Amino acid sequence: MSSRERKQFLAGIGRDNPVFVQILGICSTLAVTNVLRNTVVMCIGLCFTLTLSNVTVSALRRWIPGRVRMMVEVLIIATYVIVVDILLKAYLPDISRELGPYVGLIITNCIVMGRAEAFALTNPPRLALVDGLAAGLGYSYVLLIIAVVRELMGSGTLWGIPVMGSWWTNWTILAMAPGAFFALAVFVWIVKACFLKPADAPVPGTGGKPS
Amino acid sequence: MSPPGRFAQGIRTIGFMIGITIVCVGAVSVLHVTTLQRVHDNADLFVRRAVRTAAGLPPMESAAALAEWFTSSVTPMDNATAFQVRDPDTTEPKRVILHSGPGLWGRITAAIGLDAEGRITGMTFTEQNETPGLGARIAEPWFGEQVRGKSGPFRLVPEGTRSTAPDELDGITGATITSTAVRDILNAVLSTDAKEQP
Repeated sequence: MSSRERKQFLAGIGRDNPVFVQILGICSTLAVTNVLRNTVVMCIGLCFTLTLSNVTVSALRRWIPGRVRMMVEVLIIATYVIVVDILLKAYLPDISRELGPYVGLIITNCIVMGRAEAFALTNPPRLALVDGLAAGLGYSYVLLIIAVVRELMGSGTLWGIPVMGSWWTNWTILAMAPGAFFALAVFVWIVKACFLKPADAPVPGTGGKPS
Repeated sequence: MSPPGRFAQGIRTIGFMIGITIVCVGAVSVLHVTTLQRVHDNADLFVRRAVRTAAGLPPMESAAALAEWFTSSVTPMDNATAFQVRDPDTTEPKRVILHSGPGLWGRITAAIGLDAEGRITGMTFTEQNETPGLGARIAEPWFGEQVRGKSGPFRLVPEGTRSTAPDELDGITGATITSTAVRDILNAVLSTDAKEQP
């Protein structure tokens, strides 16, 4: 791994993190993080889609006409998402049923489009692969942390197994959509206050508006 | 920008779009067709599992054994929305009815088993898109098992009551709309059943 690749990888995990720095992909952060199992499948699906769509867009970058580049990006992303959906339906039917429409919603995740538009269109495939993977992993660990907090406090379980005991009163609000806003806001606050110095916080925004 | 011209560029753009669309659609179609049989098998498996659970029988792990049991002991009726179950292990015939109702986010379809006296033998769900962690908890085993032996018509009581009264259904805290929908589905099945078999 060259130093450029390492730098790009670390940026996706930390200083350029799609969730807590760029504040992208918020709708899926809010929707799937109330149960850990769904979150894990969503993260795997997103990493897969993001990495492959980044590589594909990057490989085709010399041929994609500028005027229709967004249509091409969406087409490529949608193809990978449908592939994930079909594979889940055929080989992991139980998980597919539990996730319902969430897998299809990866298409609308701004991170995928954002990375394709901001990075893959101007960089070679190898670097785009590292970038896609880093953004995917950066998204995943944030979601997993939020999901652990929400499932533990909202339902008293972890991966569906009761762990909190009978003394714990479930904070139902945390299992519902508003709970996700609270959990995410507290997380972003802690990370920004403790880990990100104001000087290295980059200007957010890569073209897409938060979804 | 002159010679290549806007016309040539336009043609190139359209050609590229058509080409990539054909590649993407082709790839998805091939994958869809090759996995179609598996997806159908999975759907059948879900219905069979649901019928067995609703009839109050212990689950079977192997799909082949389940398929064999289904062919030998179950007769589909009414366009596969109801099933007559004659299990060799139990003397009494049972009926399993699939019934749908509106949930919070989408349709909920329940498989509800009834014995000859109109008592419920079990309940499970073949289709639901309720909120994970809240309404989706109707898929947890205890929720379906609580109605076994009851005969309704049901009214909701708070979760955790674990009532054994024949007309009480434990709702789910934080999922009132889902709980009400399930109660309505149960009552609809029971009242239709009572009319058919006075």
